[in-house]
Amino acid sequence: MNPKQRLGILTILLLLGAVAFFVMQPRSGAKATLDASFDQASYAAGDEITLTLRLTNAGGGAICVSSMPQGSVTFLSLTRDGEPVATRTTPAYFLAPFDEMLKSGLVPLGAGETAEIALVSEIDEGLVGRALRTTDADAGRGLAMFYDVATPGEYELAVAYEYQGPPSEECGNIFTGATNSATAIFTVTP
Amino acid sequence: MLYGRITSSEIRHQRILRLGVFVMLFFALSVPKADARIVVEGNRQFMDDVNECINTYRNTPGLVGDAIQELERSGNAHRITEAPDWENSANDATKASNGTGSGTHTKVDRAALERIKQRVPELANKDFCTALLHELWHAVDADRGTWSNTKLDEVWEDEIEATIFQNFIHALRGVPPRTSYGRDISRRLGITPEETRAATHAEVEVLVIGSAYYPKEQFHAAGADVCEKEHWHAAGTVNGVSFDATDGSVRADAQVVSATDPDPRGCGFGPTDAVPVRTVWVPNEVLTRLRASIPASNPTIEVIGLEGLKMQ
Repeated sequence: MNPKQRLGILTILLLLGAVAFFVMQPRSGAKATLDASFDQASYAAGDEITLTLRLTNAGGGAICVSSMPQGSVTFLSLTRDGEPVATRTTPAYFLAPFDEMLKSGLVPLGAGETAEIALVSEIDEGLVGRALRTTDADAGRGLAMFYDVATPGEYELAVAYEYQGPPSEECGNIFTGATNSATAIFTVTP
Repeated sequence: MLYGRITSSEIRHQRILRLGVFVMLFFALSVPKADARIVVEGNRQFMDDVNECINTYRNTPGLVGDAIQELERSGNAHRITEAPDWENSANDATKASNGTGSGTHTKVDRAALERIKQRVPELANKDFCTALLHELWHAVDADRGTWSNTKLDEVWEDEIEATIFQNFIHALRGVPPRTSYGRDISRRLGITPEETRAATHAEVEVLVIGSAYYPKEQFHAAGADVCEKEHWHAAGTVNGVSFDATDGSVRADAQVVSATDPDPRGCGFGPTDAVPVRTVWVPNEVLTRLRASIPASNPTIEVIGLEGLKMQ
């Protein structure tokens, strides 16, 4: 094999490699951004707290996103006066496999459109007070995590959206990437 | 007269008093009792829906009624609130699985169920109450401290148990059993549809008259007389239950109906060779209603094969 032939083969291999690299890349057109805010800046201890997440389709085409916080909203951190808040976890048993529940919550979102997901604090008997809750997929069931928001203090939340469910026949272009981390703050007074 | 004179301030005072009594009564009736072990929270319609479901099955003989009563007697509180999640979680995951027992929180919502059903085919036969009771099985399991953390055939064992429990309700309602939880688990359900039915139904020998089944014990066969053939008569009113015309089954919502001998001096309810006699499955709850409708002086309903259900 002469040098020219070697160079030709090398060129072909490089081209094939480049094609494979681009084919295997995730669709970069799908992009979503997240914004988070609480309904009030300050709450009395025990008040209901509502976190609103606004998920905006920042890509060029329609996508599908989850309409439910379970299996899609993750608290990257939640601190009170700079320290992580008290938490607890428990399995959560759903009417149908958690994957199926997540698929059933998918909704289309056109380019430039925004979907809102609300997370409302609940009375948690485990933490004995108001708590915000997220739910992660745990091999067919949910794994709920409760975050104490009853104790007075300055709270800071970092939150992101990432769909944890399986593909869906009804929604071909699910946004499966992670959004930016959105932050929001609130205060709980005694 | 002095006692007949009521000033406007007194009227105002009485109105305020009446309003106060009304408000107190309203709260006394609507706020969950502190000692209630099943605590339902939500608007009036939601609370009515949940209570109706629990009331429907509380006294059902067997596992379903026993489970509800077990929760109601529990030392742990089990909350049911209105939310679209359709799930049950424990107040203390450790106690829910180590034998100690834990209270739970169940979140359900009627409208959300209809939306989910459209996209999850295996939930086709679920009505609000059946779905709620599926979740309440997890509450029973947590209350006993018997939550499992293992899988069988790649399905959480706790969900297999909840599906078995759910199938008892399906049988009471006369709908096919659920056989999957994400994947086929019929092998793990441990009971065939026939066994499910036997646990929740009773076999009753009946006469088929019109569109209803009438327990045979209410009739007597008379020999040929004015009527040329042996025929059926009954003393007074007879009671029966309506059946589904499509397949002849008695559903849980079957109506109790009554009839009187149409020809007491002639062939009565008809010749014995013309009136079909069958043995049919009757849901226990329908049987209970049927029994209640039959006066004590009338013949009893004979239940075939289930000693515990036979009338005294």
